[in-house]
Amino acid sequence: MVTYGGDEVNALVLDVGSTWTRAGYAGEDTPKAIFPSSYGVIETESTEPNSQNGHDQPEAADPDTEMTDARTPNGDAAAKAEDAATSGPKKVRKYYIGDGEVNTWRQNMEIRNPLKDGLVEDWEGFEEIWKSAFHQRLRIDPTEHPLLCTEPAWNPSEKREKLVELAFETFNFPAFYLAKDAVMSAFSVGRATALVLDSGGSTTSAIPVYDGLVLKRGILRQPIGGNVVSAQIMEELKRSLDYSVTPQYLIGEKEATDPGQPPKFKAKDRPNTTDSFHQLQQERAIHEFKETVCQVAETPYDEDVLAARPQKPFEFPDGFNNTFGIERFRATELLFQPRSYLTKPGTEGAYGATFTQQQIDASLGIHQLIFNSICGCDIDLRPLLFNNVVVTGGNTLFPGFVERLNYELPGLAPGSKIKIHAAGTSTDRRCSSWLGGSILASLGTFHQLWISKAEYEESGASIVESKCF
Amino acid sequence: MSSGVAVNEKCLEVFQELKLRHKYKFIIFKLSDDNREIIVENAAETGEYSTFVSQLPEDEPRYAIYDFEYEKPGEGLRSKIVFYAWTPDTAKVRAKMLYASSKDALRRTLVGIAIEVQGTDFSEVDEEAVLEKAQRSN
Repeated sequence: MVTYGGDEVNALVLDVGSTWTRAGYAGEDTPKAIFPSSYGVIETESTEPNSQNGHDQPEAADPDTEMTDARTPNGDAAAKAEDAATSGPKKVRKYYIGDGEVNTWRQNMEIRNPLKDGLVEDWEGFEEIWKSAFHQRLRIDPTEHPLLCTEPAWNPSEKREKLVELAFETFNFPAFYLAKDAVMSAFSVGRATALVLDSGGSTTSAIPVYDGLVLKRGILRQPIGGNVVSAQIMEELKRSLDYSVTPQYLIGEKEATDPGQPPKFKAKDRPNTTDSFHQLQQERAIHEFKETVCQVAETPYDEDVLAARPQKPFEFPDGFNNTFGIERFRATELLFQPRSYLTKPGTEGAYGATFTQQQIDASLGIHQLIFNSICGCDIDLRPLLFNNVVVTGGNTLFPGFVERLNYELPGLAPGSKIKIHAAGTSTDRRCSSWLGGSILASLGTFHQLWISKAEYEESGASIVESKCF
Repeated sequence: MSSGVAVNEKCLEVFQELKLRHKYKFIIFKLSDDNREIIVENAAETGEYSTFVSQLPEDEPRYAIYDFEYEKPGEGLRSKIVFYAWTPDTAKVRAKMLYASSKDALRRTLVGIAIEVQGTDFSEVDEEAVLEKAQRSN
């Protein structure tokens, strides 16, 4: 699987997205570690960190944590001691990062996400993600490897400089590079010029790339992504079936029920569960629902036609099961017609993702987003961009998504030759920017582009503006 | 943003011969085996367009230059230098990525290109498609 070419540089590639973080070695075709960017944190007022460690040990032995990566207790203790030292004597924060850790129920564990709108908001949590990626997952010594990190195209310069500081000051990497994720995605399908549509968990964006450079004028994005679709599905279930999802962690025993009947299960006693944890677990159940059942209508949405399509059964963790017909299409329709399908403000029982009327009015369907982004570019470039639309991000994996785009786009731009490129496998599409970074960083010739530690020490963090663009 | 791959001197030399003396009809470039520089794979002195297209590998990317001649209605014969970035969909991701990120280096070295074509399948590089572009670009 290792496909080194050129020098063996042993570079690392890190791509922190709003839902998943991907980390691995440059030159490989899949990231070594993929784990949720959301992390769990427990804050205690205790002054004695060790007493808490003893309390946590039995929890880790819970059967639910079977898939947890082996984390050495030593590593944990070290991380905690460090925290205690940095966050003052009063508050002790213990972090839980990784698929198994985040999803294991613990009293008072809050779930947080360090990113907002694709940008880093919570630097302390972000640093923990890095720590976990390098120390626990890849188990490497940062001083021995150059690091290539991806960033969204709209990352402001203060955050870029902060990233550089994090890499050199906190982690002591010998060399660093920041690459735009849209450019990496375009490269990974062999395009230097493309319109990259990236629809992920929190954000959907359309980014024009020309000869490997992002055209800032054409960047369009909106906070409508997979999380909104999930929230919408929860609402729909509540409204039409009067069912609210009970996540796995609450379920003790369950009985088989007939389709559509209320679930019969014994709830586990889970005191002091935080709202954020409950929400994350609900989203997980819905996520599975989305992957199994949901689909995008290939042609314009028409309830009568779609209702005739075969139904699909789905069983929730608590045993509730039903077959779903039109719901499968309705939930995803907000990607293409957000104005008609987003929940209006003030709707009862809305789950978290509420938009103001103004936001709804400003929202665009994905095809419209692509079209407007292209129209924001120079007129000579437009045919090129239309001919190279690259779709990436987990949200684009709904069956029918590409077909629908293929149907809608020509309607907006009659006469233009439109070609949509989508990587075939789901890993490729979820990790396209990581993959791009991996290949780029593995090139022997890439070494001249790295920011070295010496350069950083000479010019300061602002060097990122002249080296990475 | 580029990969830092260099362009072999020979590339420019051969290109100048094509541009100034019309010694060649088309040139095909590729990345050297160690992926460090772009080299000339093939330079043909004569060749129909179909011969040129048939030399593009089906599942590997290439760059190419073709000295394209066409008849402008009422104004006689014209010639345009066309640059091709050939990256078929069936190529390996790594190769696609390498060619995409290195294109700029070659493209900037070769001065005097009138038309640029990004090709992913044979329909995008066929004579008709290029002719249409040539006529539009005066």
